[in-house]
Amino acid sequence: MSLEAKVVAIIAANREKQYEVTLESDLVADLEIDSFDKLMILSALEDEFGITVDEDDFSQIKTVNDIVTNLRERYPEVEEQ
Amino acid sequence: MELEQFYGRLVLDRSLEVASGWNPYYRKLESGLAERVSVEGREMIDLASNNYLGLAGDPRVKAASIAAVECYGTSLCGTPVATGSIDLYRLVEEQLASFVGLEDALLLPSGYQANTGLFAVIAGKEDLVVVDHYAHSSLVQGIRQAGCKIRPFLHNNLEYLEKVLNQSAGRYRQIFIVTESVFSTEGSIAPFKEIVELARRYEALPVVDDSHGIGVIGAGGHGVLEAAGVQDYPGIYTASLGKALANAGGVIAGKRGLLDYLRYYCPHLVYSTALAPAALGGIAQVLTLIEEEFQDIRERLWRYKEQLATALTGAGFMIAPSASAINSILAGEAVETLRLARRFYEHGVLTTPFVPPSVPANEGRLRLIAGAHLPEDTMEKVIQIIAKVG
Repeated sequence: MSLEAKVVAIIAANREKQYEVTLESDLVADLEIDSFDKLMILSALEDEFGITVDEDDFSQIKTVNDIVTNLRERYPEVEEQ
Repeated sequence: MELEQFYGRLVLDRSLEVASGWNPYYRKLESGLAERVSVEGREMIDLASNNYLGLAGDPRVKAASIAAVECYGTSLCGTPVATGSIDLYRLVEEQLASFVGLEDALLLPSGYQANTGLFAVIAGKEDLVVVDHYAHSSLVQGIRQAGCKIRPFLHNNLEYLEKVLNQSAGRYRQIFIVTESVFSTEGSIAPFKEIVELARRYEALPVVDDSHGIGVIGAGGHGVLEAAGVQDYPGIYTASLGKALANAGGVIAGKRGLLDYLRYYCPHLVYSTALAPAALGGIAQVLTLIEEEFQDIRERLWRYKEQLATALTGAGFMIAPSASAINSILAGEAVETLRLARRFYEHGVLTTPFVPPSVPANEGRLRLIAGAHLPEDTMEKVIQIIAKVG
């Protein structure tokens, strides 16, 4: 499974309601993600990829694709998972 | 210029009020909680307060508060470590511990301070707190301020919780599992017996906030531990005393050794003026009344809850599934939630609207709680109003 597909799946699995999650989904406008939701998703990413993320690294993200890009740039080891 | 920037940054956003044409918050009440309440010159029916058992205006509770003031005055003007630790204070702590079935209890000035004060002492950066996604602000703020690792889990989702525990075991000094018993915005109830079992299996410590459960759930109204049938509870219990218990203050209960520690190291307790005698006298009386009269009170409380639920669904409202005495209308966007609250208000009914950040975006809730003190004809009136508003 590609990194993109993993991130999409993790976000979908960490929402109370069902959303159609795509790489282009806006985290707030489309997926209604607040700061506590984001914390849950980042924790799930940590578990999935065996990394420890800094919340501040994800403070500016807007879309699902931003998460993927951020992971690639800051945690290149995720590609090997 | 710098001060202008400071004050300019802290200006209240009134866009929701403008869009809905309504501000339901800080409405001025000119009475106590009785069959009718007076709000800005109007007689209204109160379905907004947490006066579940209807004891806030009970003459016996008022008399007990007055008697405590007669005996001890209005305040001990000191913290519990100083002059605040009167015999009545300790008596109420013991009474509360016995009521919920734990070794010891500790009184704090509010439920909010009980939760924030607790985590300030028990958790640190080496610890993990796994907390229900819908947990109350006081729990989340307390956990965040403790500086520990925090992991929300999907609401009441045991499978998700166990997965987190399984992945986290052995990586932290202590893992805490934190939840509410009754979730206040919609009335869902935590599967607490199963949570305690998971905690035992993974050597985690459960913490439950029973603010909307104490005095309401359990066969005798003793709260979540009784309702869930939890024996030898190994964890920590907190609650507000300003809801069904109809007074003020908060409580932390659990193992005596921990509470003795908190008595000296919880700054929210040590540096706050002790709970006032009026509240202490009132709490003691309410606990006695629950022991003596809960079966009658409970029958009315749950009957009214069901009547409201039937009326709301009959009027076309979608309501949240609730296993507690709470009914919550799924009201959608924040603006629509406030508009609905306004419609009830205009028909003479006070309700509680919840909008973000208290609830997720576009998941506004309008909460209605019918206290057990309301007369039957008031409930009939409420049902008629619901049909009109729907």
